[in-house]
Amino acid sequence: MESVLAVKNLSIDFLTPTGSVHALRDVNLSIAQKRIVGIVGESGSGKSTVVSAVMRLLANNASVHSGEIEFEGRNILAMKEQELRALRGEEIAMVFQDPMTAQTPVRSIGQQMMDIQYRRSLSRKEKRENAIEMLNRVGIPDSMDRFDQYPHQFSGGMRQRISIAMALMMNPKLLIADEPTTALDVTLEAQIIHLFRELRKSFDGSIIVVSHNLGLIAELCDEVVVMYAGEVVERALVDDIFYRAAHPYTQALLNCDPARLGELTQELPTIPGDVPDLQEVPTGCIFASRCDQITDICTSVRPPTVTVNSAQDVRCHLAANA
Amino acid sequence: MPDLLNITDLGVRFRALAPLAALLERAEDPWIDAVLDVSLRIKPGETVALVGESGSGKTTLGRSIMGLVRPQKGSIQFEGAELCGLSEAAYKPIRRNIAMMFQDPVASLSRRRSIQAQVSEPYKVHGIPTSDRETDRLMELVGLNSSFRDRFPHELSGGQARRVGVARALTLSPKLIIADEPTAGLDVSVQGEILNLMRDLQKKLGISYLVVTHNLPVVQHISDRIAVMYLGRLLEQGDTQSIFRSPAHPYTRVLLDAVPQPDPAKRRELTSIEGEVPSLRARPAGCEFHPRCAHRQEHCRSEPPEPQSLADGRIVRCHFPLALD
Repeated sequence: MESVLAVKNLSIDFLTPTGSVHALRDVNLSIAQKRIVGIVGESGSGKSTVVSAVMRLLANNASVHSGEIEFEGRNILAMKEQELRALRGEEIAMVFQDPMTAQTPVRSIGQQMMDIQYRRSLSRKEKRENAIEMLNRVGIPDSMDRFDQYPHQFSGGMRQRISIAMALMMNPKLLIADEPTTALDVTLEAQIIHLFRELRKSFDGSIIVVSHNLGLIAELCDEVVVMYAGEVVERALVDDIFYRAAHPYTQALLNCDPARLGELTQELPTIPGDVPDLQEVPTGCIFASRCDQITDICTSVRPPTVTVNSAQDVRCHLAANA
Repeated sequence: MPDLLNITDLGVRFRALAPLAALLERAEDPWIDAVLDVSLRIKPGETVALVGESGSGKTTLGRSIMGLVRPQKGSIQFEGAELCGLSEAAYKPIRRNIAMMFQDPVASLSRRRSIQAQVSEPYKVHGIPTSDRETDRLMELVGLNSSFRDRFPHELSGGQARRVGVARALTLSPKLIIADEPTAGLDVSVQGEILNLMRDLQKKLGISYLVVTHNLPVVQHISDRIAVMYLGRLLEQGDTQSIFRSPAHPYTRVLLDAVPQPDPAKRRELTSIEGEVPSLRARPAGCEFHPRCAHRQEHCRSEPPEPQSLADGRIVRCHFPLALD
C-alpha cells in the first residue's frame, strides 16, 4: 500500500549545555492511506519529538542527525519555510493536547475558521458556510448561533471538537492528534473517540494518534508503533500488539495497565528501573536494564529490527533468534 | 469500629461575584454551591475513592476536610471532634493528623529548598524537634535513599517527586491522608509503584486514605469504597467491588462504561453519554443528572431525589436505581 508519510532512519539530538541528548535513534515508520496509526510510549519515549519533526516544529536546539521524512514523496526535512507554510494546516494538520490553549482567545471561533481558509479563493459567505458545515460535522450544537462566540464561551469538550473541526477544515492528507483526550474527562473522552470514528467514514486522510493511553489506542487505531527511550521497539497491527506483543517492553506496558488486569489485585504491576540516560545511550538493547527476559547478548549488541508474524516489526534479540 | 472521619450534610459555597459586582449586575444569587449535602464516613485503615468529572467538587471536599476552605453548612467530625467552625489556630493541631498529597507533586514543592528541608518542614511548622535520622527514615520509607537528601525538586523525576510528596504527607504520622489525584501525570509503569507504596504504608501504619481521582481503572484495585460525585453531590457510595460489578446510579454506570478498554475486540460503537457537566450556576431542576440520563422519567425532571439505602448498604441518590446483580 502506498504510504502518505514515511519516516526513514530518523535520528535527532538535542544539544544541551551538558552534552547531546540522543532523543531519537533510527526511527522508522510509515503511515498508509486512510489508516489510523497510534504512536504509544511513556514520557521521554520520543513520540512528541517524532510528530514535531514531521511538522518541522522542533525546538531550536534540536539537530537532525540523519534520516528523512517523506510526505507524498517530498522530503519534509529539506523543505523551505515557504513550502512548510503551504504544508502545515493544509496538507498536515494537528490537534493538540490542551483544548483550552489551542485557539487564540481574541478572535471568534468563526473568524478563526475562516482565517484557516485564506488560501482558498472563496467569498466570505462561502467560507462561512464551509466553517459552519464543519462545526456541524464535529457536533457543535447551534453552530450558526455560536459561530461568532469566542473560545472562552465554550466548554473543554466543545473546544476539542472545534480544534478537530479546524484541523479538518482544509481536508488534510494527514491529521496528527497529540494526546487528543488526555485533558478531558472520561465521558468526554468517549465522545471524542466516537467523533473520530464517525469522521473516519467521511475523511479520506490518514491519522496519527499520539498517546500513552492504551485504551484510546485500542479503541481507535489500525496499527500501533510502540516507542521506548527514543527508539521504535515494535510496530504492528493493533490486534498483534494487544494479543501477540513480541517485544518485552510492549508486554510489560500492557501488563501494567490497571484496566487490563483481569483479576482484582492489591499489588499493581510495574516496570522496575528507570529510562536510561539518553546522553550516553547504552550499548546493546535500550530496554535491557529493565527487561525481565534479558540474555547475555542484550547488553552488548544492539538488536536488529526483525519481522515476525509477517507484519510485525520488533527490535529484540529474542524475536531475532526465535 | 468508630469512624475516623464523619462528614454530615456538608455544604461549601463560593462567592461567584464580588458584592459590588453582584449589586451592579443585579445578580440575585451570587453564590455557587461547590459541595452540597455531602455525607461520607471513613473508617480507620480504610481507603475511600472520591470519583467524578472535573468540576464535581471532589477537590473542594478534600480541601474542606483540611480546613483549607471553610464549609458554610454541616459538620466534619474527626475522631469524634467537630472541625467545622474551628479557628485557624485551633485547626493547626488537627493538621498533624490529617495530611494532604497535592495533585501536582513538582509544583507543590519549593524549587529553592532541598528535599530534606521540605520533608522535615512539617516538624518545624508544628515546633517539633527533629533530626536527620528522622528524615532519612521517612525517605527510606518511601523508597528514596539518603543521596536524595540534598537534591532539589528539578533533579527529580515525576515518580520521585511523587514519593517526596508521600514522605511529606507521612511526616507527622497522620491518621488520614487526602491524596488528590495521586497518579495524575505518571506513566503507567510508575503509577503502580506509588499506589503499591501507599498500600504498603497503610498496612504498616494503619493510615486511612481519601483518594480523589478520576482514574477509574486504578480505583477498582486500590479502594475499599467509592463515592461518586456530580455537581457537588454524592450520587452513589458503597463497596468498590459491588459498584464495579453492578452500579446502581445511571451516572456511575455511564462513568464506568466510558473508560476506553485496552482491548481492540471490545470496541464500542455508541457513546453511553451525551452532553457535558452543566454549570454550577445553572443547576438543572429535579434530579440534577436528568438532562444526561438515559433512564430519566417525567418524575426526574421536577422532583429532586433523596438519598436512599439499598439492600447491600449502598447509598444512592436516584428515583429509579438500576437493578443490582
